[in-house]
Amino acid sequence: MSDGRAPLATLREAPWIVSIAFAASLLAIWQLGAAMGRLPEYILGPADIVAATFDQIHRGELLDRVIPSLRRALSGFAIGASIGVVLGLLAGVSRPFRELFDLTQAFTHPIPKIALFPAVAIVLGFTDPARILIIAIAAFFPAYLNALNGALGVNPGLVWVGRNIGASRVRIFLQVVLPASLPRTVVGLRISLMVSFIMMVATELVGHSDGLGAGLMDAYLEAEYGEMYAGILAVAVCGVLANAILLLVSRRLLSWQGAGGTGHD
Amino acid sequence: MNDGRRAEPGAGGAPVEPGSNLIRLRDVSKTFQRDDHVVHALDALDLCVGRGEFVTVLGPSGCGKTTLLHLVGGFELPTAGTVSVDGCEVMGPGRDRGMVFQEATLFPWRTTRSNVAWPMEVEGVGRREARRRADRLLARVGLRGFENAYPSELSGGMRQRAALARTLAMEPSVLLMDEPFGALDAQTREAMQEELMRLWQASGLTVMFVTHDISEAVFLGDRVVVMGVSPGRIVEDRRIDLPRPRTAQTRTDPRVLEYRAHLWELLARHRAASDPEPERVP
Repeated sequence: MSDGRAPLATLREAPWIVSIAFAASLLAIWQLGAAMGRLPEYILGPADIVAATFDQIHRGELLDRVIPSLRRALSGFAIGASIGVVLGLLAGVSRPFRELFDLTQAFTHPIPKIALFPAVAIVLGFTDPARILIIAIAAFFPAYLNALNGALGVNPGLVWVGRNIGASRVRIFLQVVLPASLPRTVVGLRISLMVSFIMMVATELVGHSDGLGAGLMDAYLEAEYGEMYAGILAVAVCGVLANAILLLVSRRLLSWQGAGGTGHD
Repeated sequence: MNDGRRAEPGAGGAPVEPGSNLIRLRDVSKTFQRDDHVVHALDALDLCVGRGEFVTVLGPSGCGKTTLLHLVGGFELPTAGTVSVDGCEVMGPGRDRGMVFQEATLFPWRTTRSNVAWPMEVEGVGRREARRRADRLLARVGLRGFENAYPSELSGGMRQRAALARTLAMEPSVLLMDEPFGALDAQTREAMQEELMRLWQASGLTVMFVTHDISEAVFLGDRVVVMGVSPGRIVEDRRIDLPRPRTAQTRTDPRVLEYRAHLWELLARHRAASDPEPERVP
């Protein structure tokens, strides 16, 4: 009995072991299925996917796709999220501002933004500006809503302190409301970033394009399954890296929250 | 020093109040619209507080004692009547009236030093000078060595000390304290009361201190203003003849017990007389 307790105690102290073990066993089952030839031809094993990915990297094709995709995703994110944060914070501190946007926001938010792509394409065509516009619109909403709720949730006592001290409205906005809303705003930014990657792929699938989404479509049409999975892996890696960078920046900005303040990742 | 206030008609900005009253509330009423009915938070209230006086405001929840403080602070304006400080009518918040809130409202993203330095930076004091003065204020409230700590790293009592230091950084002439020790444990609360006495004694500040703790009201106040509910009004204004300076020894004075018994009985009578209404919070 006493022999069995020690490993359990270790697991409790290092739960990431369980995480890794779970992921590894899924991969192992997948790989085993592939090795035994039990999977359909259009599902490659993990080893083959990695091999195909390295092959693509060596030929320089992957990077040629990643760069235009990242440019679109990050431009759209930067435009949409920054407008969202600014308008969200303003709406949070100003009731007329909030009421101005409220109805419009409530009606436009539920629209899947990809549904707007054909309409945008009538004017802009299936071009980069059209894709960036769609990504920006999609990235706007999580940034706007979270910044708004962040500003609405600011402890009114903090604002009263600012008024007591005689700080101007602008100073209270910049030095009280903005930092106090930051934790919630950062949550919105992270959702916006993820949405930007989703919309990046979605907009690239349609029309004549380059980038990772277009690569997926080409690979599908040519039944190049290795290329397809390499593309999916590349999208995943880009998303994880972008999220990690944003998380790192936000941890720095929110270091005052202390340990555990940023919540579950 | 005149921010948020307006000279009374004919006063020309100079103090014209007779005697040495610094704070004066005349026939002050405050009503709030809540859903479909009107709440009378304060009704035709008159109160004067002398320069350098320490007045505690005691009352049950819903008696409007916090509203009273907000009116003097200028965070709310009266529905009727006038509130004046140093002869000028209160029209809004101002640095001459420093507010210390129930919860220590420190900025969690600033260190203790940076919190205390902020009011001086807003005023235009240079960053280095503001920090130097902040350190001095922190030493005064017993927080030497915690200059670089964030509020989340401080205990409740330490946070209130830091909040007090930040309020003192405005160099107010009036200190408005809204149950500042209400969330602290009994021992810390007594220690904080004694320290507040020591600080106030050396400062010459005029203090209005709201509490629902009878012992606290008696221990701190030159006067205890007792309020009753529905509508909020003053039911007694009692002078507390305990020697100054007040220290831990003051608590054992037999007169403390007498005052407490009297006030307890008074509050119990007024509590029974009417249903309490919810206290308005900012």
